[in-house]
Amino acid sequence: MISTANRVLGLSMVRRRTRQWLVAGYWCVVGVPAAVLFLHRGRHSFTGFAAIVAIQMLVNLPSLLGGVRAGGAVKLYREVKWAPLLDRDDVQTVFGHATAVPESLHPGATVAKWLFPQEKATSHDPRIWVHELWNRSKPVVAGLIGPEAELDERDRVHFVAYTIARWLALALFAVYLGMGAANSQWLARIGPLFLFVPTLLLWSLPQTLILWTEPDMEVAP
Amino acid sequence: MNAELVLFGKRIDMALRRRRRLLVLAIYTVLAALLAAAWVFTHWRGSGMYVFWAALLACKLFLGGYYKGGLVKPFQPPRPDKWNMPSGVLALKLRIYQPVPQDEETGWRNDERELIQRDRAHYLAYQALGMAVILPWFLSYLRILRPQLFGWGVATADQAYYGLTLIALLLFLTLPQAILLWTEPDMRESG
Repeated sequence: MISTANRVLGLSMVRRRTRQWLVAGYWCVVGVPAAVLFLHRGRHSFTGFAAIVAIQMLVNLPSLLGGVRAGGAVKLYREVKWAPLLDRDDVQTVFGHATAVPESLHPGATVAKWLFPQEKATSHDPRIWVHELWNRSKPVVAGLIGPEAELDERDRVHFVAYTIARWLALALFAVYLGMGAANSQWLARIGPLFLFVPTLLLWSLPQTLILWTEPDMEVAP
Repeated sequence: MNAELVLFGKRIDMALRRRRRLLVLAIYTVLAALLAAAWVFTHWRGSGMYVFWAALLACKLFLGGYYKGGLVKPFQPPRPDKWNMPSGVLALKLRIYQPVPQDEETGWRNDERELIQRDRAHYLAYQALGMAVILPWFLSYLRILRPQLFGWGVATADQAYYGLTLIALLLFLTLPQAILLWTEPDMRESG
């Protein structure tokens, strides 16, 4: 489950203590600015900036832990085909690096080759662009969860995370209703925070559990 | 997973996947109709909770999973001293209790294969919910950045968040069980 190829922030993820520090740091980095931004949202000049920072946090920080994005401490849960989530050789990344798959594993490239034979195309031929497009959309499988045991473990962790998130969602919903009943003006102020917390939690909780609970890994001699 | 549903004292055979899929579709149709009706009559003011209770009732009577009762075995089996607890008043009134007591833990305990299926269903549901919560969250930020966009809609921004959050919560309660009922193949009779 833990990727030894990706050295997050230059750190080896072999030891559990390192991973636990990473997780603690992650939630501090997420939690403290989120609280500051949201609690001071009353200033009009700040709201747009707060929104952009929060969106950036949600888009970029999960790649620190991995799982849903390539390059993090946890191996990818599944093959990602959506280009912005890929971590490719030609894209500078902040946290990690993963290598592209062999072409034989990428069915799109085979289809493109069959439809548009490259050897017959010239450099100005639009068929070249098709090949380029397929090459750019190659999925990353280095660091992808592979063996059956890891898939079962991934699913088991998601069951635990789901159970925790379910109770938290019910609690948040109850608080949200209570606040709405007490003073509906509060909802407009605090509503985005209430939605931000479960969103970030859903995107990060399984990885957090994996990194926190997996024991120290044995290093190959 | 149980192969039959007991409702109003009648046993309904649910071994066929087609029947289970019909049940899942019926449950989500009823919940969607309730949401629409609650919007038409009260704009979810106070009535949203009724939809929530309806989802809990659907879990208790038909889906199971997080509750004793329904088709899917409890995801987390109850303590041994609670296996043979008498049925509640609702179960007695609707006659949905098992007429013949099940043997000890076989009715509750998931075997290895069922545990793997349970975990896989939760993984899939988790992915779906991760995407589902992004929509209301994105809307809330759009309201901060472009409040004028929310002036022309039929619902206010708060009503839209509330509705989307309610839908996400309904999915939270029902999605893993629905995935299991939808994907599990036809069951064969043992023996």
